[in-house]
Amino acid sequence: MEGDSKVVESKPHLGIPEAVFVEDVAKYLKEQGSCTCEEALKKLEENYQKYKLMEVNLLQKKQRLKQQIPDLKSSLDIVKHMKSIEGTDTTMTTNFFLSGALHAKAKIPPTKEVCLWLGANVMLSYSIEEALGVLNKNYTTAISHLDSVNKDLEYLRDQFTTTEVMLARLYNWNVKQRRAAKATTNGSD
Amino acid sequence: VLITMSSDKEEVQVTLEDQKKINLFAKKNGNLNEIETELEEIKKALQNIEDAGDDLLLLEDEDSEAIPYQLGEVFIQHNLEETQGLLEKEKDKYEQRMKQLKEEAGEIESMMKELKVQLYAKFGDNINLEA
Repeated sequence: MEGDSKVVESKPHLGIPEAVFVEDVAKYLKEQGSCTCEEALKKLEENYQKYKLMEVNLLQKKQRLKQQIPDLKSSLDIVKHMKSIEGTDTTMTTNFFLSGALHAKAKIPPTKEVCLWLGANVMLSYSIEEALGVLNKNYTTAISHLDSVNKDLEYLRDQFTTTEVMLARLYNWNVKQRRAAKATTNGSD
Repeated sequence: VLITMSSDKEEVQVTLEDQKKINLFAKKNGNLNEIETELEEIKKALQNIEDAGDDLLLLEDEDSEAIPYQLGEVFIQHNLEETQGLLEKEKDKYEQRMKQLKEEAGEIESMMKELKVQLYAKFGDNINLEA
């Protein structure tokens, strides 16, 4: 084995630091300077907690996106439907949502305009074509965000799996070291 | 915890290669869980569509003139044929997605199996891969 510690190929993922893989535990500890095995374990444990914290953040972000996407999709569906009857004389008879479980009936003739809720109490009127464009764009952006969050999560998983394994190995090494020490003292008795 | 390592016996050296395999295993396991969740959701949706289709057949003629069909947040009324067409389209969409996901899941499973064989071969009882 050539190097003592190698870096798994790194890419910037929200600046999440890379967990370094260590092949030789004894060498690693020496490189860390004077610190004892317990201290090294503590440090790793800290890193591990940090990774977990980042995971929680990312998972929340993902959850938000996952809620947003169906919303956009349903807006898109309805605008698409409006587009499909544009220019015809089909009147949409709808039961639309008022509040809670209450729906009211409405007849909607084909229109050329649709208002999109932009948030912050602002609603903007678009032509159907434009509305489709806006919604499509938002939809694809949301999907690509979700994609990158998923990639970051995968990367993060790599990092904390590496840390998990490292923790286990360091722990084992520590146990072994102590056992060996005990054996030598017993032997000298 | 997905992976636990214990070594009471002879220590086995973990190489970078092994670490990569372990990482891959953990990652794939995560992916698989996600796919399974989505498959569950699709199954539910398909069941709903099927129920809706069955119920349509039970409708009296006068009721089948205008069936409120949910599009986005509103219900739009369609006649029987249109509604059935819409349901069919929905169903196709879900079935396609399901097929795709099942293929992916199959690939991931065989990959995980392969990794499991390799890792257990090297580490034996020292490693525990809970899937």
